[in-house]
Amino acid sequence: MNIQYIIVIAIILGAFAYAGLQLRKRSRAFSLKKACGDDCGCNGGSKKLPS
Amino acid sequence: MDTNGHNSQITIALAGNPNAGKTTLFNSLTGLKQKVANYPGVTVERKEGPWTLNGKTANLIDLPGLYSLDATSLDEHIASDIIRGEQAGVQKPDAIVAVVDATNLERNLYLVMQMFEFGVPVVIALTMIDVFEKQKHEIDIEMLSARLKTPVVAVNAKSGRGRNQLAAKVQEVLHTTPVVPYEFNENAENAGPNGKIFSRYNFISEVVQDSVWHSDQKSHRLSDKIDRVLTHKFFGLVILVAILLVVFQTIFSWASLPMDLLEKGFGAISDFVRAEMPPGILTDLLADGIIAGVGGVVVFLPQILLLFLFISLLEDSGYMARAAFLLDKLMSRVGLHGKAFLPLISSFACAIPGIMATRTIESRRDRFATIMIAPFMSCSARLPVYTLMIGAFFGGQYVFGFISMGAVLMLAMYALGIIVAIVVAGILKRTVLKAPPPSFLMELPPYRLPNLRTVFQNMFTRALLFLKRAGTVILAISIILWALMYFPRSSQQSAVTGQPSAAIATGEVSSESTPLPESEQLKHSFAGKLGHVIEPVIQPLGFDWKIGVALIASFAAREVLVSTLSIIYNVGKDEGAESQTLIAAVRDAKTDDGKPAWTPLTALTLMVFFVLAMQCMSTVAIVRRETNSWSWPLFMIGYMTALAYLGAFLTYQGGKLLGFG
Repeated sequence: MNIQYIIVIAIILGAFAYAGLQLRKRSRAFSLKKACGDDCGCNGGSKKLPS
Repeated sequence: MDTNGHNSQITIALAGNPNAGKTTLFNSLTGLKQKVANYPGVTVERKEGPWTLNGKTANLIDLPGLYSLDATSLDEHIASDIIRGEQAGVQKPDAIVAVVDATNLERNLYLVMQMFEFGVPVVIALTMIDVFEKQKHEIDIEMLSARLKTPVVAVNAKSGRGRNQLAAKVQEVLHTTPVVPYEFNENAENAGPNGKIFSRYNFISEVVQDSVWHSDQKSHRLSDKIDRVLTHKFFGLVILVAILLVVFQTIFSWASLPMDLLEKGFGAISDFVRAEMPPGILTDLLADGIIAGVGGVVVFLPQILLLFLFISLLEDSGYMARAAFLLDKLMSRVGLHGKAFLPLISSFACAIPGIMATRTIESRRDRFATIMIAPFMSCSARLPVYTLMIGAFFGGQYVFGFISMGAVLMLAMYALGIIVAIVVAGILKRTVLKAPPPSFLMELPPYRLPNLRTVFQNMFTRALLFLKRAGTVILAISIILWALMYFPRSSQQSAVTGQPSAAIATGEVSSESTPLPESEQLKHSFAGKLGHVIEPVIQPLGFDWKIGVALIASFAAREVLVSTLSIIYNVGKDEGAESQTLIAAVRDAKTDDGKPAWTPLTALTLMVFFVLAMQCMSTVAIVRRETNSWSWPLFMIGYMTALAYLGAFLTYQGGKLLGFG
């Protein structure tokens, strides 16, 4: 296995790791936010509807 | 905390009617770069930034645009909660800067009247004063301030006029108690249920009469005359189509030179890598994977920049609101809320801010109907796909001898998205999202010369986002796709027997076996095998397996189609084959049986597929978040994919029947 091959494997693994991290980030966005009101798309800016 | 028990951080809220200039003032005071446009409702979420007040840093909160503090919609809820100090995690404001549009004084002051009742000191920042003065009106600011019993400062965010005075006045009112300038007796005989509202309006009317003089009505009349043409139900649409044709034609002609230069630049880098590096797998990855993949997308930067230049110019001049007014007539016919126009217009840049902007719609059913159709608006990620197809098969063709075919097709794709969106909204509003047609009063902002700073700021922000995406997500996907197209490496024997070659483990083809030509390697790669599996499904659309691989990859993000095609035609290039641009490679591509892989009809079919398909993971994520349910994003993916397949099928098969195949 030559040096070029090792570098390429490292780059590919890095790309997979980055894509995995991005997918994890997206899947977190998918998850239910308990603090939100029913009809509220809340994020860092708008926390929750008053009860 | 200070000695009086106050939190040492001063919080100032910036509040006002939609399109009063809050975000422009916010950017000017804080030095931040929030998006600004000349139509109501740009600020849907709360934004915060530092504002220096006499050496101290205050926290300035930019609230969503509001007409009242009655809290009927989600954004009004958030704003009134913040002003009351009832929003979790947000300190109650020490003062409010009420942004009041001088050209719409009476309507804007209604909100200010309500602010007084919250017991928070108010300073009025009077915006659009330059437009107001140009309309030959005069305003007595001292009189206005005296009648309202609160400081009033004329400001101009562009020139910086009144910025220091505003800071000084805010300092003055901190920790004071505001005086409600009008009286209302709830026990009076004529009070009635709306008595308070009438008292506010009566008082505002008196104040405006005392402090404003109208010396000329000419400008108003001119604006009204222009509107009569631009919002005319027939001529308005003709003008809209003409403007869009000019915009698209200009984008194509102006972008061609920088695009060619970028393409040549990436070609030169690729050649340099091949010439200077020893042949091998790393060289292949750099030249065929990274440079071809990322470069294939980055070459479309000039077009993205030009698209946002024109969008910003149309928004900032006030024309976009007129275009929305024309479409609103169509939207209201299918029962869509008038407030849907902003989310849908925002979706032309990207569906994500568009979907977030639906929060201004009070009715849940109207809001969900708008969310469901927002991705039909042709976003900027589709532009590289349209451009590639048009450049490869319709470049240099003209309709009526002077209108570029590219501009016509581009307009047709945008129009197709809008028409399908309206039809789908009509169906949804009559079935699963049935609700009575809502009423809505649309505000048409005054015409004004676009602010070049705002225009270039929008362009710069978009360019940065595009390049960031190319350098991160597109780069990672390009590397992965290259690997899927490069591995496993096969020899003549292994390709025949189907047994994996020793090369898979080592990355080197053994000296005893002959390596396959690159086009054959691609066919036997992981991506090639996947492409062949789905080929029967996409064959009725006129797509071969290579286009199929690009289609699958583009479900991560639309522009990945371009980088995938760029990699696929580079990886599959046999030794000795000349290097060519992506447009030329697409034009010359062949199927496995040697026929042309692409025809103008295939290109058109692919464009139709891209108009209708839901190919954006980020949009799915935001729909999940905004609807707080899995069923809506899944429904969206399902019906849009089915519609895309059907649309593409009808286009291809219909085209073939008509003899275009």
